[in-house]
Amino acid sequence: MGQGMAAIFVVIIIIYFVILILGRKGNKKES
Amino acid sequence: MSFLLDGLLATTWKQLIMYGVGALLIYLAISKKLEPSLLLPMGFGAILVNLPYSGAITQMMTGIGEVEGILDWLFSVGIHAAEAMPLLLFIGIGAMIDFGPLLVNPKLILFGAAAQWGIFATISVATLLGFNLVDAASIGIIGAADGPTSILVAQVLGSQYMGPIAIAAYSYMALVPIIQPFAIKLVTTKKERMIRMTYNPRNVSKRAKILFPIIVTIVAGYVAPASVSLVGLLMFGNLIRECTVLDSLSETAQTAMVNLITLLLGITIASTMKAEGFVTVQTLMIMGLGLLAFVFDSIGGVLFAKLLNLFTKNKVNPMVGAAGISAFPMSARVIQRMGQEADPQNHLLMHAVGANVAGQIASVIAGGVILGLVPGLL
Repeated sequence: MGQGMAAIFVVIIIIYFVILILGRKGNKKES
Repeated sequence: MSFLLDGLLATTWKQLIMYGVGALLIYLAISKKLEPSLLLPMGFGAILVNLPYSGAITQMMTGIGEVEGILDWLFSVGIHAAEAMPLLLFIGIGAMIDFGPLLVNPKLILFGAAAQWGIFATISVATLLGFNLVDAASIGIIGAADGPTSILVAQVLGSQYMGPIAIAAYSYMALVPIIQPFAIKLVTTKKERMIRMTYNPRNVSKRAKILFPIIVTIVAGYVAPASVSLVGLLMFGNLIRECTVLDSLSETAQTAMVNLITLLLGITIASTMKAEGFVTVQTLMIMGLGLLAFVFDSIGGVLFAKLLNLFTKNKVNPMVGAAGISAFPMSARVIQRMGQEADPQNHLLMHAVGANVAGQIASVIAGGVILGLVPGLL
């Protein structure tokens, strides 16, 4: 159970940072 | 003339029960409008495959040999061969989803992960109840709240319970408006349900929306390669939507393609609902475990939101965590309604939608993780 949840969280946290970076680049472009 | 009575005489009590199950599914689909596009074909199919000597499924005929039935053929090429039907459905689902609310508030994606807890908790319970790991994992994935993922995982792992798993997944998805309020109220106070969240709408650039599906596919492909067919086709559909130069393809994927596959998927799944394998105690246990998976999912999401609130200044309404399941958009609507029940001025819809689309991504990743982990444990 722990291994499965850990794997999901790893992928999701990477995607979280991807979204943060995409959002920041989008903001920079707008300003 | 005795051949006219052969069918009648060959009818078993288990087949009669399956006619009842078929009738019940058709009733729920038409009268209660519970996922009619899936439950109605499955209900009719349950009757079709359980008629004695049904030509819809493969039969051994005296003097002719094996005669392949259309439903077994559809199952063989549409699901068994490469899981084509559930996978192609994901292109349409991807084309339907706007990840905008998630891109505006990235934190919401964490709820998608937390709300998959029901899958793993249910796998543990199913194992304790005596199911082997393959069947337990296939049952647990009902908690992905995502019918095509459940079908795909059950098929790839070779579970013998695909019929009941598909019925449980689709039935409980339709029952989210009943299951989630019950589960959420178990672990929240009214004060918590009243927490307001501010929504700052901002435009997400077209470039971000185009890059998102591509990068997610690459990330998922490297970290959980088994998930790449699921994630990849979901994101492919989304890329078609967001690129804005393939509007007619996006429209076709969202409507004609989804309708065509859905039309065939339900009745194809019914080919697994043969009485001998379906009328068992295990089927009842699977229905119970599926319900448990949905309850655990909701509780997992809520508790994670509460945990997050311990460390953050801007508090999250814990109910938004429960929207991290894949049942879109029902779950988001349930959270909005419950928020307004607690405080009529509370508008949680956009936050819940963000968590809900995160659940779409997390559920297919969870499916891939299960496919990656379970074979190694056998």
